[in-house]
Amino acid sequence: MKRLMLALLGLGLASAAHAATLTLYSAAPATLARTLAADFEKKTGDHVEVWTSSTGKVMARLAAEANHPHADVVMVAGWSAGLDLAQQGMVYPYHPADIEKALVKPAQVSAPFLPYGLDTVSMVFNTKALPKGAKLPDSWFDLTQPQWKDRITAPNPLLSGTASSFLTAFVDQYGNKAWKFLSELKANGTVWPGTNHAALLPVMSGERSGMFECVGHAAVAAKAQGNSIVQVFPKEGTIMIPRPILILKSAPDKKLAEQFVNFAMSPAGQKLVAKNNLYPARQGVPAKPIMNKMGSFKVMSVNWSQMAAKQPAILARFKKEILGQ
Amino acid sequence: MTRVVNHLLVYLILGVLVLAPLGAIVYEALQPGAGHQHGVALLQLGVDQHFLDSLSGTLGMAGFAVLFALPMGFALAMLMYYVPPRWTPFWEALILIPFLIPPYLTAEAWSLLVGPVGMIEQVIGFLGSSLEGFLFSLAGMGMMMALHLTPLVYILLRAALDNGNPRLLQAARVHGASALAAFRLGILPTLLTALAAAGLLVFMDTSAEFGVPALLAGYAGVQVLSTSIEGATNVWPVNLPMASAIGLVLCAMGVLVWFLYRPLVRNNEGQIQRRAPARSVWWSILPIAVFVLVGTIMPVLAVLAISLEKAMTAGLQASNFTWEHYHHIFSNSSSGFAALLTSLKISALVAVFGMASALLAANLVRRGGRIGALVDLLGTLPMAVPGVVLAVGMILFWNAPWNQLPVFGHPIILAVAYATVTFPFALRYARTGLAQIPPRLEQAGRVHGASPLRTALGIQVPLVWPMLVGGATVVFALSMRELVASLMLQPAGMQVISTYIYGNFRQGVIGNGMALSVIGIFSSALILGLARKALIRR
Repeated sequence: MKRLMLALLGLGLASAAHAATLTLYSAAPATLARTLAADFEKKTGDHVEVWTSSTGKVMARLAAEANHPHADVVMVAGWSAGLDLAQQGMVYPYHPADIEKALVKPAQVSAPFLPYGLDTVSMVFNTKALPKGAKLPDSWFDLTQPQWKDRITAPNPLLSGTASSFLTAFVDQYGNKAWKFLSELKANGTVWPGTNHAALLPVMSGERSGMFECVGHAAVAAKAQGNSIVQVFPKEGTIMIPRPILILKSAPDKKLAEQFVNFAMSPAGQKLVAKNNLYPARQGVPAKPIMNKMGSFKVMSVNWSQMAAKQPAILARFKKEILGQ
Repeated sequence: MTRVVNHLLVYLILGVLVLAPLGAIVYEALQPGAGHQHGVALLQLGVDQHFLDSLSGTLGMAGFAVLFALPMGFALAMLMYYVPPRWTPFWEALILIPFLIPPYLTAEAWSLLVGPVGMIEQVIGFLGSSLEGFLFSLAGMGMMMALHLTPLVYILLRAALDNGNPRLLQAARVHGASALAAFRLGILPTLLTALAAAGLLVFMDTSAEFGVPALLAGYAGVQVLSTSIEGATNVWPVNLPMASAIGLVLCAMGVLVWFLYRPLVRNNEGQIQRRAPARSVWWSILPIAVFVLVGTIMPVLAVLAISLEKAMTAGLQASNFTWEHYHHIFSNSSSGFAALLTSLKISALVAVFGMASALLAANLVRRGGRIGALVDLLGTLPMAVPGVVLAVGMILFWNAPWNQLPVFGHPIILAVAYATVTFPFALRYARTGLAQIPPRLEQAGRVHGASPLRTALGIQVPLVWPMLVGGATVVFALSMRELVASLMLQPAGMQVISTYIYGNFRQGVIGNGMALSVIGIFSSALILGLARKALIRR
C-alpha cells in the first residue's frame, strides 16, 4: 500500500521533471490549439500539453496558478485580455519585427505579443426560427423590439474574450445609451447562458431566434455544418478583434515557446488558423471563402490600450447590473 | 507493528482525502472576500444579494426534485410490489437504468428533445415547444434530477416494503380492520421512514449537483450555489474566499441533511419476509413504461440520433445522416478516444486503491471505540460534501504557495478527487464484507501464530472478495461519470470522458460528444455487467 503511494508520488515527480514539454493554455476554438500542437509535435518532436477553455477561465486559471505556474504559451480570444496579462507583468515580450511586418493591416497593433488571427462579432439568426413575420434587423439597438422578446441570447463577456472586447468598445462608443440598451435587452428576456457556444446552441436548436455579439468562428462553423444560420453585421459597425498568442515570463524554456509562436505565425500555422474559421493574421494566407470578406462590413475603430484600461470597471458593472451577480 | 502501520495509513489517507480540502475551505472562508479589506467572507455572504438568489435557486431546485421523485418512486415501488407486470426483473432493470446515466447527460439529451425544432417536435409535430419552457426552469432542473434519482427512491421504498411483515397486514385484516386501516397500521409506518430517508437523499444529491444547473440554469435565468461556487473559482475575476464561504454553506446544508438521514436508514436491516407472490397484471406496465420512456428511452434515443447527424438544425432525415462523429472518435489523433482511455485508467486505479484503503479503514471501524467512530464519520463525510466544494478545497490545498508536491496540475489529482468522492461507498462495501466474517476465523489464524497482515491477506481478503469486487465496480462507475471536480482540476494535456462530453456540448462539436456518450454508456454498462457476472459466478 505504502509502496504504491510512494510509487504514485514518484510518478508525479518524474513526469513533472520531464523537459522539452510545452504547456499551452488556449481559448476556443479548441480544435485550433489541438491541431497547432499536433503539427508542432510532428515537426519538432517536442511535446505540447494543451488545456482549452474560454478566455475568462484561462485568465482565472493563470491567476490561480500564479504561485506554481504551469502554462508556457497562452492563446486567448480578446486583445484586451492579453494587454491585461501584460499589465500584470506576466508576459515575456516576443514580437519579432520580421513577423510584425508580414501582418495584415488590422492586426498591426503594438503590444508585447503577436496576434495569431482576427475575428469579429455579429448578430446571428436561425432563419428557420424567426418570429412570425419578423425581418432581420440591421441595428444592434433593434434587438430590444418587442418581436424579439424572449428570442435572443448573448455570450457572457466574463467568459468570452471577444464579447468582453466588444462590450468595452460598445460602451466606450455609446456611453449611457449602451447601458440603457443592455438593461432593456435584459428586460426583453435576453439570456446570457455562458460561452459563445452555450449561447448559440439554443439558436441552432430553434429555442431562440438570434444571438447578440456572437463570435465569428462559432457562427461560421455552424453555417459550414449546414445549419440555417445567418450572420448580420449591423449598420453601426462591429469590431475587428486580434487574438493574442503570448509567452509567459514564468516559462522555463523560452526558446521552445518562441519556436511554437513562430510556428503558429508561419504560413503552415496560419493555414490552420484559417481552417478554424478565423481571419489569418499573416498576409498571403486567405481566409475561408465562406467567411465575409474583410471590408465588406463596417468596422468601428478601437484604441486598444485605452480600452484595456477601461475594461475591468465595465465588466464589473456588467456583472452586477446585467447578470445580477 | 502492523497495527500501528494500519492506523497511521488510515489517518494519512483520510487526512489527505477528506481533512485537507475541508480544512482549506474553512480557513479560506474566514478570510475577507475579494473587494473587502477586512472581515470574513462567510459573514459578508449575509448581505450578498447574489448569494441569496443562488440559495433560493438551490432550495427551489432540490425542493422540486423531492416533489417529483418521491411520488414517482412511490408509485413504481407500489406497482412493482403489489401488482407487478410480467417479466418483473426486466422491468426492474429498466427502472434502474436512469440512475446509471449521468444527470448532465440526461439534461443535455432533454434540451435536444424539446424546443420548436427539437426532436419531439420533429417526430410528432407538437408538445416540444411547450415542454421547452418547463425544462428551462427550476422545476425542469428538479425534474432532470428526479428522473436520475427516482430509481434510488424506488430501491429504498422497495426495501421497506420487502422488509415489512405481511403477517401484520393479515392480522389486522383478521381482526376486522378495513383494507385501508390495515395498510395504515401495518405498512405505512415503515414506508414513511423510508420516504423521509429517500426525500432527504434526493434533496442532498440535488442541492450538490453541478452538471444539470450548469447546463440549464443559464437559460432559465436562475442561479444556484454550485454554479456560483464554480464561477467564483474559475471565472476571472476570481474570488476564492467567496467561493469557499458559499461552499461552506452548501456543505453545512449537506451535513445537516445527512445527519437527519443517517438514523432513518440505520435500523432497516430487517429480514426479508416470505410472502405469496403477487398476481401479475397487465395494466401496471403502462405507468412503468411511461417512466422508462421519459427517463431512459427518449434521452438515449436523442443522444444516439445527434451522434449520427451532420447538422442539428437539418433534423432527422436520410441526407443528414453520418458516421463521421464515430470515425472521429476512433481516429488516431482523436482526443475523445484518449479521454475515454484516461477515464478508464484513472477509474481503475481509484477502484483498486479505494477498496484497499477502505478495507484498512473498515478494520479500524470494526474494532469500534472512539477511533472507529471517528474513522467512520470521516470516511462517510464526503457523502455530504458536494463535488464542487471538494474541488475548491483541493485547489486551495494542493495549489497553496507552501505546497511543493506536484499534485496540482498532474493527472494524479483527479485520482485523489475521485478517491475522496467514492470513499463512503468503498467503505460501506468493505464494512459489509468484514461484517460477514465470523471473528473466530481470524482469532484462529492469530492463535496459530499468523501475523495480522497474514490473517488479513489469508482470511479477510478471500472471504470479502465478492464485496471488494462489488465495491470496486461501484467506485469505478462513479469515477467514470464524475464531472465537476474533473472540470475544475483537469490539468493541461488531458481530458476525461465527462469533460470531453460536456466540453463538446458547450464548446465544440455536439455530435462528437454524443458519439462518445454512446460509446461511454455502452462500455461502462458492459464493464459493470461483466463484473457483476464474474461476481455472481463466484
